[in-house]
Amino acid sequence: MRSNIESFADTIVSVVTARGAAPVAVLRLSGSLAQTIVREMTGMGFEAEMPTHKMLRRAILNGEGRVLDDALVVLMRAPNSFTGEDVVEFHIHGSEPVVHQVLERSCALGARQAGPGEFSLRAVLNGRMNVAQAEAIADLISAGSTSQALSAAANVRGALSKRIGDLLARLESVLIDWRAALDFPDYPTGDGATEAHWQVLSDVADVLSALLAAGRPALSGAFRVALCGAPNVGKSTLLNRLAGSERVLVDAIPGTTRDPVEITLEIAGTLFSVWDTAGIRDDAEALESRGIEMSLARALESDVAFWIIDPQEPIWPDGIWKQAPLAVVMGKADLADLECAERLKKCAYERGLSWAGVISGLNGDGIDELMTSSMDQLRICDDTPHLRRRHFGLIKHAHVHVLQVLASESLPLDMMARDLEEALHALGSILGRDVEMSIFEGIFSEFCIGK
Amino acid sequence: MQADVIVVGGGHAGCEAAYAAARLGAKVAMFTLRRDRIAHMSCNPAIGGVAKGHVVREIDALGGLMARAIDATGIQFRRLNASRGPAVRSSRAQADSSRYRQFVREEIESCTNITIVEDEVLALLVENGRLVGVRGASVGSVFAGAVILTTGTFLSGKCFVGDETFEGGRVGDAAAKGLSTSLREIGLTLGRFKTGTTPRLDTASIHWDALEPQSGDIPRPCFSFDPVRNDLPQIQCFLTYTNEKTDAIVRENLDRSPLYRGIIEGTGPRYCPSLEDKVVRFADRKRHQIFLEPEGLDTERVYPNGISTSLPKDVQDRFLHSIVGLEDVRILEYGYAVEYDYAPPTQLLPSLMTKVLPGLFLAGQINGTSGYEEAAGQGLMAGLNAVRWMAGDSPAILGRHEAYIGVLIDDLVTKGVDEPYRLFTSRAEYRLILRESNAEERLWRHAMAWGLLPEDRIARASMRDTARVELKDRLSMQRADPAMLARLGLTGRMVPGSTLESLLRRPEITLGHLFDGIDDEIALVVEESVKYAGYIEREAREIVRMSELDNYRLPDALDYLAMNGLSNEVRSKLLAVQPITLGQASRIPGVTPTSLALLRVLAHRVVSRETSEGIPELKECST
Repeated sequence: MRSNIESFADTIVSVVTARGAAPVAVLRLSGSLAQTIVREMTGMGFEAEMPTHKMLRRAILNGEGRVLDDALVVLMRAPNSFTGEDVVEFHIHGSEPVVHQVLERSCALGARQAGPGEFSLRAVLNGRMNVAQAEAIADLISAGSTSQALSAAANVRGALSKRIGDLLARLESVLIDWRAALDFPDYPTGDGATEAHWQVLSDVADVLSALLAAGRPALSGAFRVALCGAPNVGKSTLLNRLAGSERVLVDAIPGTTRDPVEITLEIAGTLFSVWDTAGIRDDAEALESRGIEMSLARALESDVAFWIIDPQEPIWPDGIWKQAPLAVVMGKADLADLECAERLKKCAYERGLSWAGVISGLNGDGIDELMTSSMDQLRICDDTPHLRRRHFGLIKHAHVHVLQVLASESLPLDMMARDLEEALHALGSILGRDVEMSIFEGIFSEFCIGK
Repeated sequence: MQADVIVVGGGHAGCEAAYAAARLGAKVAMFTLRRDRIAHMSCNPAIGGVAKGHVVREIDALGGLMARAIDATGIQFRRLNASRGPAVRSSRAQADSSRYRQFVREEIESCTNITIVEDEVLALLVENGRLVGVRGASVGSVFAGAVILTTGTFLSGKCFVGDETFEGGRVGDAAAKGLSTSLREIGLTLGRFKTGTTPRLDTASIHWDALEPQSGDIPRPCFSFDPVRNDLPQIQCFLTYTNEKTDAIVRENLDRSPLYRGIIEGTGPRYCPSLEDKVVRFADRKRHQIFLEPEGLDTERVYPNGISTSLPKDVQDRFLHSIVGLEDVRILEYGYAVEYDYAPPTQLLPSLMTKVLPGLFLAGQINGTSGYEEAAGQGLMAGLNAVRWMAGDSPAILGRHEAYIGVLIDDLVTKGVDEPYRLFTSRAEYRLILRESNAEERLWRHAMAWGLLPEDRIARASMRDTARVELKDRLSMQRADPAMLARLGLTGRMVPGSTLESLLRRPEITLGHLFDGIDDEIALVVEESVKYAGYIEREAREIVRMSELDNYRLPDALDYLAMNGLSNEVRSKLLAVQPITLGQASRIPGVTPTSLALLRVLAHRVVSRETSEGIPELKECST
């Protein structure tokens, strides 16, 4: 059995300033690798002793030696630091792409995204805080676990969890065959890797790399908002309002938006990533229906999906759409009165949908209120980006190991099974699933084994 | 009568327990119902197999009996998974079961400090809450400092053949009835498991010519690291299959099967289904294979591996007669199911001592395991720990990264069991480090430190260790010249001056290509460690990562119920298992990373209060 826990011994990293657009962001690293990482990232070399508690101005480099940012760097050598370990803080520019890249770079060099309260936890364990403070930290962790659980649930709901679950099942089916062959060679359990297995593995590798490609923008740390609803309810008009320019082709012919369009904007210091999506129709032609599939995927992955309805011809979401984090918005407020809005709000509640407000894309009424009020709600699961980054890392890990299996045709079966297990455990921990149990279940239900 | 250690049971667990305790100088009283059934193979006449062979090798490295016994009395040896990777390579052997019993009995009898007591143990003797010995049915009270129970399937054992039900731990042997009550009285919870065995066939009535033979492998794989003499002739096993007619007969009579009539309440193992189960659960399979395994050279008994059953006798006759080669077969002993008491093993410490009654140790099937090898491994550790406990020494615990026996015991005491437990290689997360080939390398220093090895064995183990180290050194120091590369056909593919180690990493190169005259066993273990170094290092890094948790000892008296912030589920699980280390806590199913972090803070708080410093006390856990 594998223990699925994060060690207390490794080096952790996190952005410790509030998220969203700010002039400066502070990234903190703590652990035995902190010094090595900062030397690598700044090209400082290992000859010179790094001064402690002194701020240095250094360029931060990516893996290829390109400059990511001009930063202030300070080392606080153990034990004289907040956590009692070597701590390095980077003061970098607050733009999300910069923050993201610096974070990714330190993870590539061996750091791990810190969990809630983890810096404080280390401070406690290293005797940098007293017992009373430790009690407070315990509360913090347990509170963290609730909100983490909430956002984890939110994160793996719908599309992502379904996709990961599907990949898990496919990889499991291969591992079940292989483990049965390895542990029960005396029974008719097959000879190991078959053509069908290779096919499954290469399919899974494709899906994983697609997920990774799609996941990159999602890591930007912005709140993700999808605009959806029937065609011609004014989604694109709203997006244009938000963007302040004619970025999206707006047309009166229903079904103009075929590919989801994304803009990033800042409202009250918070970043939003807004997707316009194709209108949902049953009679859409083939090209458009592919667009709709993408719309659905976007909606399912968003933090909030505004379902916009036309007050004169309201069309409500149903089926799989209900799995998205929907909030109903009445559009075209310029064409309806207050009474109409109240009636629609009641309809929404009756359908079990939440209500986000009334807007007019044409004159811009209600849009800022809509965005800021949803932002307040979204703040509840403020550590979603942490989890997303964790998922991203796990998917990457799984991908690497599936590719390794595919490249290891000449290795013995058990070595391939090892890599496959690594991949499965990575995906399994996204969903919090006990992979080993299902492998055992699978072996005994699919193979007739026994004296 | 007075002893240091009492062992109740003379099966595979009991024998290893008694032998290990005796080796450490303890005076042992070994209770068994019948002296001639010591080390009896109640089910199939074979030792080893995938993961089980690993355990047998570990038992040998720890000075136990099982490997030498099977090496001396085996009549067919096979190598499994030879080309499927170093971690899953395993050995398996058919035993001459009566010679096997004799070998083990003679070893036990030759230990001057073991006394065999042919009697039933009725109860534990507990005075003022302290275990002082056991009460035998005819010998009366026997006093000792520690008691090891290895009762197998005998604890309130009940056998089933069709409509017949009778009390017994095995066909032909009485059950141990009194002891269950005694265990409940001291506060142990008992559960009920079920297992079964096949009918035994008369060799003279089998049409062998019609069947497909299977021979052993040459050269024979050995289990013991020391050479053991075996001049016995080697036999073949034979393969036959059930067919649709067999299935039909079984299906028509399911209503007469105690399993399907719901008379048996115990849970059986999924990896060892009865023929009834196979027919129902795998209805789409047209046939099921049966290995016909002779139980020995001089016996008429044949064990048909694959058709364990508790159907009525007439049905057993009929379905067997539908099978090719068995048309006229005579049954010597009918198959049966047996149901028995076990004690859910989360009630044990990692030393296999019960938490409720210090001095009482449990090993083997009583802990919910199945298999001779699993039983023997636990027996050895229980024997060792019983003596250490009496001497006030710290418990001897094998880590999950050190031995399959460590994985087995950690799984038992941490996760518990919901069906009879057996080992698989996939249960070992560090399986590339736990190979059959390197069992001695992994364990001989422990064995020596614990006093399990006689002087001459230590000398040989140490010699083998030196040979391995020297060979590894040669590989990393010596470099290939152009002539060598040419001879190996590697010119142009490797640079002259490459170490021999890097040559050996190539799939087509073996140690035999590089050196002559290296002992096979030593060559194998070194070659595996070089060829799979990348994977092995990955596991080694993971072990280091986990060791911090495994070395973090939790305070003894943690009040889990008062730990706010932990969910009720996690609290009750921690309370049930009472983990010794943070590492063990992390392996309890359902204990999340967050609850573990919290547990660490709360444990730290308790320790800080105790030591009234602010610094957590990191104690080395004894291994």
